[in-house]
Amino acid sequence: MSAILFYLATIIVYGAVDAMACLALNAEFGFAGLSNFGFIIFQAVGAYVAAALSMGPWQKSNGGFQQYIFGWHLPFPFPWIGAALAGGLLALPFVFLVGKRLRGDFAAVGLLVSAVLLNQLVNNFVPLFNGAAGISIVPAPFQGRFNPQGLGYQFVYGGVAVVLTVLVYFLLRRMTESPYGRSLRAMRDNDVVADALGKNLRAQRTSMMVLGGMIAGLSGAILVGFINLWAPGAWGYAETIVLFAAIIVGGAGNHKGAVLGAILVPLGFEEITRFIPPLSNPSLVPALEWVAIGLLIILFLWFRPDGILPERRRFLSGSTTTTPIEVPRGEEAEALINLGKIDQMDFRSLLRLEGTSTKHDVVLSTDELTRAFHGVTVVAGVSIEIQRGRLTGLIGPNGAGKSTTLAMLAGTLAPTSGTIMYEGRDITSMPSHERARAGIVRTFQLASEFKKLTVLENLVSAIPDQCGDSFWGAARGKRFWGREDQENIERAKEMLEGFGLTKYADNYAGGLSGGQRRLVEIMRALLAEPKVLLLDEPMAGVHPNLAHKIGDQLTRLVESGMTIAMVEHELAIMDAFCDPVIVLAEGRVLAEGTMAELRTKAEVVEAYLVG
Amino acid sequence: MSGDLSAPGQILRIAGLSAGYDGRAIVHDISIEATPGKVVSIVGPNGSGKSTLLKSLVGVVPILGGSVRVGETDVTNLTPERVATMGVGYVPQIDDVFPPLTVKENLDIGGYLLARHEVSARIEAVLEFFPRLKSMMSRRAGKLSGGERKMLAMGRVLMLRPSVLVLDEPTANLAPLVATQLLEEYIRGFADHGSTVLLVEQRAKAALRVSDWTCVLGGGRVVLEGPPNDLENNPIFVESFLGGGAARR
Repeated sequence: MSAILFYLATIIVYGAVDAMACLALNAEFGFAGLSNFGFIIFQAVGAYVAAALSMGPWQKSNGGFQQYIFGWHLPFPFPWIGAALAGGLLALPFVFLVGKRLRGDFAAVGLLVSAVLLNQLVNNFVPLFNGAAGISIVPAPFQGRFNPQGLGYQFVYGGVAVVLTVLVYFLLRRMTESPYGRSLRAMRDNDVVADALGKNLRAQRTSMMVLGGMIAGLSGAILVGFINLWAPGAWGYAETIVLFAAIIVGGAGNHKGAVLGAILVPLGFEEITRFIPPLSNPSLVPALEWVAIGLLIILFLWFRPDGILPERRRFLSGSTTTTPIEVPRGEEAEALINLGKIDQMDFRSLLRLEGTSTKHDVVLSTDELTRAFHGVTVVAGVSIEIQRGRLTGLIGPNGAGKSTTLAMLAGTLAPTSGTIMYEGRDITSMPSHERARAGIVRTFQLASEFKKLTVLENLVSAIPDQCGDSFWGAARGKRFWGREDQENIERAKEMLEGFGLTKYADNYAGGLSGGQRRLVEIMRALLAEPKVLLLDEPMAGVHPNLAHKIGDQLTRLVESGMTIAMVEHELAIMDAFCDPVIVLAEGRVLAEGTMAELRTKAEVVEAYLVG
Repeated sequence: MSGDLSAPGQILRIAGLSAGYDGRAIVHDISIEATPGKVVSIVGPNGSGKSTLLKSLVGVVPILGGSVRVGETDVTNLTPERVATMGVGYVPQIDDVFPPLTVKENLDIGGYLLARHEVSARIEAVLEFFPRLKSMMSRRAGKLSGGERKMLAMGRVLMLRPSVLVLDEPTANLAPLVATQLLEEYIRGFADHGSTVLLVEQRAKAALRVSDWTCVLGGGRVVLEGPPNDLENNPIFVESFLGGGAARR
């Protein structure tokens, strides 16, 4: 009987440790989109630090048969706190891997390689970690006062582990169900776009890596205090794969899913395989276990990619219907998209625009802007001026460098040489998210909605300066940011009403039709409160009817004081709405004027009909 | 020049063709006929559907309506490799060579469907047409200049002695002089050898100079077609590129 109870206590501790690890990894991967394939390092380091802090100096304890650092003999809970701190600190060097420079898949490989390398280091560097033997006889917390082998102690230990896991659950939920969590998910869905809307990707990634690292470190500490030994062999990189499998099975982006996954995969698998009678070859069952985990991942990705408990849809609109509205498809439906009561909408107050300026001074300009890709110069010395309160068009044949120029204005691409001036300041080296905050907001040529955010979430995520849209703001809880967030939601709903998409407020943006997604993107860019709005082919693939409706609203925006520059190849749109129009060809400015003027210019005709 | 550069040309008949992605047509109701010994060019502004049209002919983009015939054979919606074996040689705009492989290896791959002993004879024939490639057989395709790379791409396609050549913007990103040479010497040369040539070009005027017949695409439809001399002086021709008139739907 007591054997079963001991087993039960063990299961509780293991379950709590795995659940905590899965919660942390899910916060990184499922919410922030960080494929941390080195996750196990954080757990291992936390475990090691907890062990080494709780033990006495290595020369004196246990006859000095094992070497390690620290050895400060700290009482509970300091080893655990140290473990969490170590996990968090360890995240910092890794941030450069997942920072702005490295794309997701490369960062994943980098982290995986780091995990393998560190494991090699530990296995082979005795003075630091005692090599492959690891550290044993790690003291259990309070072992002086209680018998760690006693059943009562074991259950109390399990209880503490569970309580801590529950605390972690609520802490992470507090972070992810906040405006900050919305920004994290936006980054996960499309980091380039999130950047262009003013999200500081590096800060967001750092915060989640550190938080995840701390939780991982703590979970390692709980485990090592229970099993009383630490050996590098137990922390192989493959363990991370098991945790990923747990999250994929349970449901990425869902905290309950992470806990469920932890119970099913690392815990469930391990325990079930214990009961398989030994086969002829003793290593066969563990090997098959890996095969089974691999198959499990593949099957889930194939048949149920969102896991058993998929990411929850957030209904922000307050509407009572919870089923998504069906989206009409086809060319006719696109032609019939109407813009709602947009003409009654007061852009100036909704978008916090400063007053209309009658003088059209230069707000954004470039001087000899140049960009080369692998030796091919795409933009070769472009100097243009964009005037305040005007709708400037940028046209040119294929490969003229229009989109590249726009990307450099917004900071998505860095110029090879040349300068960009904005309101009298040199912003050439200002990062994209800071430019967005300063009022330069761009849209993208290809679909760029945050797919797994609802339409309303897409819009609200763009609103700048939200008090809950920072790590500490989110940590202060809903009481701190709730009221402001509700105001932001109302503002986004007003916008949605104007564009006639209210009924799709709670639909996932990824499920809308092409024309509707365009509108969402434009609304989202507007809510970022731009002073200068840069549009990259906003009418591409949009039905001509809708294109003209959008054009009319752009004109109204300009009249309300906004400055807009637009790349577009549909010249009819330029005719109707843009003045002035700048023609680029082969990376240079060819001419500038109204469309009617440009058509009479021989060099423009020649550029379009190259001979 | 050698007479067996390509197989005797066959008529390419495109009738009432619509094609596009996800069931949504990008080009509508296109009918074009290309005959042996002639260059038929397709020009038009950005996004008018030129490349989509070509890709549908060679089986890369689904055809939603209408038909494509090579000689007497219906090739509508065949897979790309089947279309290739029917004698249609397709030179895509990008990804036209295998950059890490040498020129010789690229040509070898072009002759993949040939019997082993035929390959070297074919390479000889191709090199006779593109003598410039002779001295660079062991160079990696990725290290070639833009013009040489395009020659290699065309040479690779010629390995199978196609009867119809389909080229997607062969002069894109080439220097003007190289572009002119490519069009006037080689692409015109294919037709003079008796091949059927269908050419999509961004350089509208340059295309007119080497074509026997030109179709102007706009918004996925043929807005204008005719012999080059007629087109050049037609105001709708310029309008279809620069707008401002009735040419757009």
